[in-house]
Amino acid sequence: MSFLEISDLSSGYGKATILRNLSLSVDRGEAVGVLGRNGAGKSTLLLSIFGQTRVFGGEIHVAGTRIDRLPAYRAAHLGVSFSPQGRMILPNLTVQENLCMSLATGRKGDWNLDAVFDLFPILRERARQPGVALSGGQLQMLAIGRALMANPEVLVLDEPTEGLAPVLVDVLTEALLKVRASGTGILVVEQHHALIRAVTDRFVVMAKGQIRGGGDSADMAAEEYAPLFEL
Amino acid sequence: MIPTLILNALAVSSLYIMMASGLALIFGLRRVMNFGHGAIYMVGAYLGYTIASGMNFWAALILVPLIMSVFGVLLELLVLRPLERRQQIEVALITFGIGIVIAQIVIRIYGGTPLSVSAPPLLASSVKIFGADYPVYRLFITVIGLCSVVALAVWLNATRTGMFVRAVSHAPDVSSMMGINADRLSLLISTLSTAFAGLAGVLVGPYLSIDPGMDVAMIITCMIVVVIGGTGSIWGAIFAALIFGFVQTFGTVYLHEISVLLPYLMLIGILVWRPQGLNFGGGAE
Ligand SMILES: Nc1ncnc2c1ncn2[C@@H]1O[C@H](COP(=O)(O)OP(=O)(O)OP(=O)(O)O)[C@@H](O)[C@H]1O
Ligand SMILES: [Mg+2]
Repeated sequence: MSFLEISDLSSGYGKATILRNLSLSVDRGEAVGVLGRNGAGKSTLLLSIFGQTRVFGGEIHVAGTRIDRLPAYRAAHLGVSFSPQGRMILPNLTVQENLCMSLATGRKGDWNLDAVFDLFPILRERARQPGVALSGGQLQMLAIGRALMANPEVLVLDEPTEGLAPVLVDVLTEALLKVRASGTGILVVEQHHALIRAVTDRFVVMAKGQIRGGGDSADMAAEEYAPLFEL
Repeated sequence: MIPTLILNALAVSSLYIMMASGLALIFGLRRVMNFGHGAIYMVGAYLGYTIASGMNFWAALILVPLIMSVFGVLLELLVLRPLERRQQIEVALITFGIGIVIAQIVIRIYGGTPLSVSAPPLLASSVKIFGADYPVYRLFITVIGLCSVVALAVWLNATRTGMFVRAVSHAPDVSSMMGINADRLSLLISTLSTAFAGLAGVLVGPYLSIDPGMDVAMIITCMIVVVIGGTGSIWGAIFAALIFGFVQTFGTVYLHEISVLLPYLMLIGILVWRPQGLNFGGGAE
């Protein structure tokens, strides 16, 4: 079984089923990209891992533990951590306090305040400022830093470059490559094909709550995958 | 006259602060208004009476908060946690019902006549402040109130657990995704909250009286304070408790005819002005 194993998952919100019989796995150290149009269910997939949806069927395992019936906070303790869509930085906490939220997982490793500040030096300068004082790019860096503080085996990111200028996309791509180089796996939902190609090993394409196909990220531009991106 | 009134207002505000900050903390974490809080305070006061008469006041001051913290554990494990997914109003009504039952049990045991506790010898004297004699015991209440506010502020702002409490109060879903276990924090907060209510109960004995209506009077005050402060806002609640103490104390003297109405007028006035309450920054900030 893979480190993160999603099998035959159906989930949604309230009575609405969004994901239908979806299976996806990510190994330790592996990087997987998820593509798909608005409303395809990409965020729903990631939110399901972190206990924020209603699971109707199927199972989610992290590090061999079935988590879909456990309290939401357990996922991060078991080694997946999350940078959500919209960043969700707490405006009333300082930059450093936001980072330290992940210490609740009790996971030790190479990622600590210093390592995160080395990755994103601007956060060191802003450490004592409230989260509300940051720009969009800084908020995203903080969201990634916060997730790294949990020392995950697989870092999960939802549209990290959304709303950011191209130069910041490059900065984040570099940062994610460093994360990979440290041995941490990645599951990233992203619209920028360039980022997916640079950072991930393979990609999948979602439409209407299902995975419709995928392949090696290096071959993303290949003719055979063109129909997938029309979905 | 005025310095005395200010000191009285501070003493009574201190009691309200000890009560309302606990309520606001629970509300911040669980989004539940604990209407049983007044009954906890009442049990604290009567237990304080028993321990103070059997042993002494100082023993009561230490033992009662400890005993009442057990009520906090029960509140969390038997009420808040199992009913987590229920509607706020349902849980609030259940705490209301539990409060009534507890108060009735207390009245069964102790009877309906008001009781009084005398201040411990060490604090029974008075000091001259601005030329007037002032009871040391009331200053003692203010000091304890001040210490609890400072301790709470340090705990919330300078410790990791306090930071987690602020995080969960502000964004429970994000906090849970980041791995923060709100249940564990809630257990701690419930315990603190009932311990503080017990402390307020012991302190009130030698100051005001211990009587069967004290729980209702206190819970009404706390509701007004918490709503004025902005539900769930700790600093809002503390500030509102201070305002309430002053309005009540000065109102009784200078606006005697309408003094019982003053808290409600204040509530209406502030909510018309700021529907969200004073609410400094929101959450347990
Ligand atoms: N909290 C919610 N309650 C009910 N329905 C929701 C909720 N969040 C999303 N949905 C619905 O679920 C479907 C999938 O949404 P989701 O956010 O997973 O899409 P997405 O692929 O992440 O889109 P985007 O690229 O816009 O972020 C949409 O139809 C959306 O309206
Ligand atoms: Mg999305």
